[in-house]
Amino acid sequence: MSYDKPLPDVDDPLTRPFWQGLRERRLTIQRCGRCGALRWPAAPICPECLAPGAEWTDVAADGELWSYVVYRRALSPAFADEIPYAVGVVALDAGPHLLSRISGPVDTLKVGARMTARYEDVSPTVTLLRWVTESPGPENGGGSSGDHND
Amino acid sequence: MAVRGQAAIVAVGSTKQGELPGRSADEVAVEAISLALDEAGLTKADVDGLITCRAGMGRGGVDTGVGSLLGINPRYSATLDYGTCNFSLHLGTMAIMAGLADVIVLAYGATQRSQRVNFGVPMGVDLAAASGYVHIAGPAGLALQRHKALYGTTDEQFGQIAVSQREWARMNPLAIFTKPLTIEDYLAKPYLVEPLRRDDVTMISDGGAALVLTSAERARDFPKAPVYVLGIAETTALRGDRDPENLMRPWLANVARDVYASAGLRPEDIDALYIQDPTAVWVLQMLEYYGFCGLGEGGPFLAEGHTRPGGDLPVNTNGGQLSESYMWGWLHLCEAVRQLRGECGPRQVPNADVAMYCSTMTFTKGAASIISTHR
Repeated sequence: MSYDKPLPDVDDPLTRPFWQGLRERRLTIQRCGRCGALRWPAAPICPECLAPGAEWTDVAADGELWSYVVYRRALSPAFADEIPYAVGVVALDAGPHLLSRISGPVDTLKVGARMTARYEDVSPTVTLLRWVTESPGPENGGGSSGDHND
Repeated sequence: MAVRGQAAIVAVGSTKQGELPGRSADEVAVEAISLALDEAGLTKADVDGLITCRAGMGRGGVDTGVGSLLGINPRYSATLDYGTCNFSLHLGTMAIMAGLADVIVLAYGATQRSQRVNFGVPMGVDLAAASGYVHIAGPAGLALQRHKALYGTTDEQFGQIAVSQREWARMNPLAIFTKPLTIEDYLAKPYLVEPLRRDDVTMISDGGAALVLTSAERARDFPKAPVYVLGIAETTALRGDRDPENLMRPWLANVARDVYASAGLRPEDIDALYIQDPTAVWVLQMLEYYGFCGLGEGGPFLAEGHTRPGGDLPVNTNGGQLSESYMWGWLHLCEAVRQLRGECGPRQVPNADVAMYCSTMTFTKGAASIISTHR
């Protein structure tokens, strides 16, 4: 069955390198060519020093779970079949906070937990980032095997 | 020139709340204006200023539309994109102090419930939207979960907000939700977006509200006691989520500092407190930042019952957006005015002399006003 949920425009010139990065299993975000500030979300100029444009740089897709929520009722019909699902903000080790879906069990999440990215190809052109708990034990998710919202 | 005592609210009007099928937002706004003008003993010909508020995520609420329906050519008119009435009150106060108008109507009408406006639909798809991060309960829940982790706030403490406001709403004939709600009832309910339950989130409803604002010189000429604007303050957080802690709204501390300075008052001087509450999280955050308890101490403070009927800090005595009606917070200011005039019957706060109303525009702006029947 094809993926029928809201999808980003991965050809938007402003964000294309980000989506391309996910496709290639990299987390890449903007960095100002002048002041060096990391920039998230993407913007056409640097909100710190106002220099136009940006470079793109790969950052480690690891960090700490800043907070999370668990959708237990469908507030958007598009995601009704995935209830319950978790969404979390991860404070990247590189600095910026990045919000995305959390894959894996929703009942054992903890603020402060170490998180890492998995990449899920949801359509022939779109790859999404999913956070998973870094666990020393058995893996609880699989790279491209989709969500496991137990 | 100091703001204190320069402008006064001399009338308020609020329509039936709930479902108003078949009516436009502008029509409801004009009905509210009509009610407020009646209370002031004015006709529309007396109005020389109109400040309207766009209906969130819907059409309507622009001054050119509302003014056309109201059939007036005021000296001054404007439309704000920000709800809650605080921003409108501030602009109105500035317009009066600048001499742009003398009798200003502030108005809001909404029919988003009847029009089935879907607040769960994101605008543009980014990584968050593609992740199913929808509805105000998403960011609100993130802020609460973080608060719980940092400070140990419990569901039982946080639930006191919904419970307390329901107790107030049961004494308010305007309120939509009046079924008894105990903390046990609250805790027995399932999560909507964990850690938030249904009772922690407003239900979108239709309705209208309007206020008449005038200069202090004219304020004594009206049938009801004028309610003076003692202090106003705003701040913005336009950088939004570029600031990593933005969901915790640390910038609210700036509004608090400035509004107390503007009025020359302190938290202890506030007899009745109004906090815009599309979710109960806003109440938790603002109790702390406005200095009614320390940062992180909102949970225990709520559990002590200060905000409930009979408590020493009555909060949202109308029932708030959680129990009275959505109205983007506009009814909080109407209620504050009625409390200060002593018109609230069984829910009347004894000797209410000074009220404060605190609100935000999503996670990018904050505003507060202190008002009183005394200059």
